[in-house]
Amino acid sequence: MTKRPPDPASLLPLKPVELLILTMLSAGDRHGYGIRQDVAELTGGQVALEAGNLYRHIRRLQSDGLIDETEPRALAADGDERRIYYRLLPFGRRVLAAEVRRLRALIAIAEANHVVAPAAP
Amino acid sequence: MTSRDERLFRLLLRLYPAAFRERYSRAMLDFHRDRVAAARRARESIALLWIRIVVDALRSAGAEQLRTLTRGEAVLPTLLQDLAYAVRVLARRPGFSAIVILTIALGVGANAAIFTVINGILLQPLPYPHAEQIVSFGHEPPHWLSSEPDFLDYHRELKSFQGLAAYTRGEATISDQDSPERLQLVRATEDFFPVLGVAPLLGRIFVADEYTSQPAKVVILSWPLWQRRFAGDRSIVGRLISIEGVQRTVVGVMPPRFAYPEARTDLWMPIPGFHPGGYDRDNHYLFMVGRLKPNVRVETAFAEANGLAKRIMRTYPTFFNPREPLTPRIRSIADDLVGGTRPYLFALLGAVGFVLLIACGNVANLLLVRGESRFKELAVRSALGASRLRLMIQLVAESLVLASIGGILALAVASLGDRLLVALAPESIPRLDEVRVDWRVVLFTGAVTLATGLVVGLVPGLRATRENGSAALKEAGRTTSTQSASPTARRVLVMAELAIALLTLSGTGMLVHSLWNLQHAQLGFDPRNVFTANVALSAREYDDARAALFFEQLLTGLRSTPGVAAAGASGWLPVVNAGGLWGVTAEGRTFVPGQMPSAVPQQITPGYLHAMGLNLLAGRDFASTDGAETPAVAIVSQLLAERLWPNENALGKRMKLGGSNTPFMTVIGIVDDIRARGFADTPEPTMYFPYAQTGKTAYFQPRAMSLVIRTTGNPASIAPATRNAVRQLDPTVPLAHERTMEQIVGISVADRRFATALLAGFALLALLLAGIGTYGVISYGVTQRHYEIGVRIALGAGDRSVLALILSEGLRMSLIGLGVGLIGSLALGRAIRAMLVDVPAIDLPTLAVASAALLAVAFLAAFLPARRATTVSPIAIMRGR
Repeated sequence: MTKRPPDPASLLPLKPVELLILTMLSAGDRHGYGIRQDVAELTGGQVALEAGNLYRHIRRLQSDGLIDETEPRALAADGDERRIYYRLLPFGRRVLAAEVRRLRALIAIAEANHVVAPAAP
Repeated sequence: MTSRDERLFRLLLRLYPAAFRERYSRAMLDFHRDRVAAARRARESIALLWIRIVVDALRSAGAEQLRTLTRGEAVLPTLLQDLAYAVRVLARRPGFSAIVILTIALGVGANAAIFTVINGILLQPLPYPHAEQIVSFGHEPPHWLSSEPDFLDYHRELKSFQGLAAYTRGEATISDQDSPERLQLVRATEDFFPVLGVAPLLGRIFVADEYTSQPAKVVILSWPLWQRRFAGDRSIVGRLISIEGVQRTVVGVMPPRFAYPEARTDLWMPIPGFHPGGYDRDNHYLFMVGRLKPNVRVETAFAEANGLAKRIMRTYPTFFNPREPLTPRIRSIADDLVGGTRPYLFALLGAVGFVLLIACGNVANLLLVRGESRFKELAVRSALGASRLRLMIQLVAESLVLASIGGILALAVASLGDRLLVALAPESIPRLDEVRVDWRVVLFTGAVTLATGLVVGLVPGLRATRENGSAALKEAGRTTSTQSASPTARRVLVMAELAIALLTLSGTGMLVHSLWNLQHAQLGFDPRNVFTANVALSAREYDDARAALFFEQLLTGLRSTPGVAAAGASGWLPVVNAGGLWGVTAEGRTFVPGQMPSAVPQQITPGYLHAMGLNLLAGRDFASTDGAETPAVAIVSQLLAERLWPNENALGKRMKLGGSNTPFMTVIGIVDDIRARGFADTPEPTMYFPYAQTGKTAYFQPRAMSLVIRTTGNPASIAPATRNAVRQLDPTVPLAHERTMEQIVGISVADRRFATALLAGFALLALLLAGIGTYGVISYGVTQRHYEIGVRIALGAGDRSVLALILSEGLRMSLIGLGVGLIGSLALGRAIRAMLVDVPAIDLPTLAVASAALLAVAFLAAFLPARRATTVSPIAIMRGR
């Protein structure tokens, strides 16, 4: 159904929101609102995703074969609502890794040029 | 989470494409519930929350919709590709493209030209800071202007104004160099320049103590005068120039666009402050201009001024007639300046808008016809997987390319058209010097061009892409596919064109009818073959007797000049400077204070009545024997005679000016009333004084007079002889404003005539374009029905029945267009009611003429192709088959 380009590099660079979503999902499956909460927490409330924006990116990531829906499962805390969760597919993990490596290379250049101090090991 | 919240969110979800909605609406609803619940817990503002949610939904849904439409193709590269392709396609058909581009260029160009005029006259800001606060302040008729005490009261009491100035308008002779010249002079009070808020270009404005010296010793020049007479010499400031024979110092030069109260103003001088006990409250001669305080509306200022005016009337009842109350008239100077032009400008914009619509109809028709020849191409592209939208974009891209080229040409058309327009426009249209192509015009043209491109592209685009592609492909192999796919669309377009053309014709027709009504009003005098010019004598060199002698000698000389039938002079000329109103009373009659009759005063020499073509109803004209030492006499107009001596013979009766110590005058003649302010005026009672007696009987003897010379031939040809005659008597006397009387009376309807002529031009253009459109559709129909017509002829149909066949089609279309247009015309008549003169909103003669013209053009447009149809050779058709 979803075509999987063999080369993760063809999808780079990722958009900031996509990078955030993939990174959050690397910690485990999340439903939409959970992704929003994680992102808000990580960015100190700087990035607050609204439904349309979030699901547009989810649609993109999903059709590019980076993430997928999990089977619906019951969520005990909220009663018997059955939520739709998203998980990172192996291809998505490879794309994320490629993107992070790309960023790491960029960071190394920035550090070498004294834009920022090297991170403490 | 309330269900109302959820319903609202579900509504927002409907904005997304169906596929997206199906897939994510459940998850998004979950998200939304959590979001709202969390916001409630955190006590976030719910309003703010919803604003965020709505904005997010609009943006995301918009982006998703666009993506679905373009099937995920990148929009911009595709568009560029389409545009490039469009250019190639159009370049292959240069003839077709040229016709379309020219049609659009003319249609859009006409709109751009008229918009440029509107932009210059209505939209460009006036050259005064915060011009919206500046108001002209006068009174409703019959007072019009303000008296000195009234002005002082307004100036002192009114809280709505930051400043209020009074001024007078007049003429003055400048005589510092070789040639004397008459100039337009404004004398103003101290607040005048601060109210307008414009600093001089050179020098300074007047200072306080310059407002007290009499006569004024200082003067400020307008920029045009400075350029014209002093060649822009910057050392002019501080120089002495002679104005009205008095040496006055130039203290400043105003910047180029400063032109208050009118564009022709040459000079400003101070008017001394008025003192209580000066002229009385019934002497209304001051114009006023004021600046409102910030945020004070004109209505507020009016209410305050009106209250004060009523108080003045109550306090000084002897000066006011309760039936003619003192009512302030306060208008922003922008309204004052251009208010009268506005309806014509919008009528013109409407007319060119109609012309453009018709032009669009023709272009859309051309594209429709061409679209049919491209069915195969489109079908192939569709079969290869191009979406309908993609094909639409392709077709619209083509029309946009055509429209854009047309739009660029349109700017050139507009620029040329405006130059022509400004050159031909009468002087009385305000702010013509502001008319030029600027960014607003470019923006407007761009928008109209874009709209044109979309409209003319969408119609054929929708038609062409709706067709069943496979049907077209199947047909493609056959040679007989002459069946037109869009005859209805084309006919509807043409019917709409005809309807719009009729609308334009009938609207213009009603205005032409109004103009005709105006111009056939009886003026009371005969403006044909009359030459006029102004002569001003210096008051210092000419006393009353010498001035009277000067004019007697001048006129006697002129009367013996070949080509002169009669010659006279008067204090003012109709239309351009019709005079004020003076109180007058008849011997032996008393009037309640404030209710004394008043009449327009006119100072004339013997011969004036004949020269002006005024009809003497009874008695005699003035003679050269009516001098300063002989008994005082006067001539009255019929209205005044009836007013002073109702049902009596006025001849031999005596009258004198109201409330004055001037002597009684014996009425020796009665003349017709005249429309002194032009065609749109109503006649007013008028009284005539013999020039040589005016110093004694009518307050003062004017030094500036207008010569009125009736000629046997072309009136303008008498100008050199007139100039010569004046120069021989006194070379220092300037002759100004040389005009024929017909030019002068033309001024009173010049704006209307000019606008109506333009409208008529556009109406004819609309008719022509609609005719071409009709011709195009019927002619194309004939081409397509060649086979059918050939068969009919082969079966024995005569020329008449073939003609009838084609003509009836044309007739059907034009009758429907006519019907729709007539209904629209009724609405249009109501809309322009305010511009009509003695023409009802449903003007049957005009509608009849417009309908006849439309039918005639439609008949011609159908007749030409119909005649061609009769020449179809059945043999050729059969062979071709």
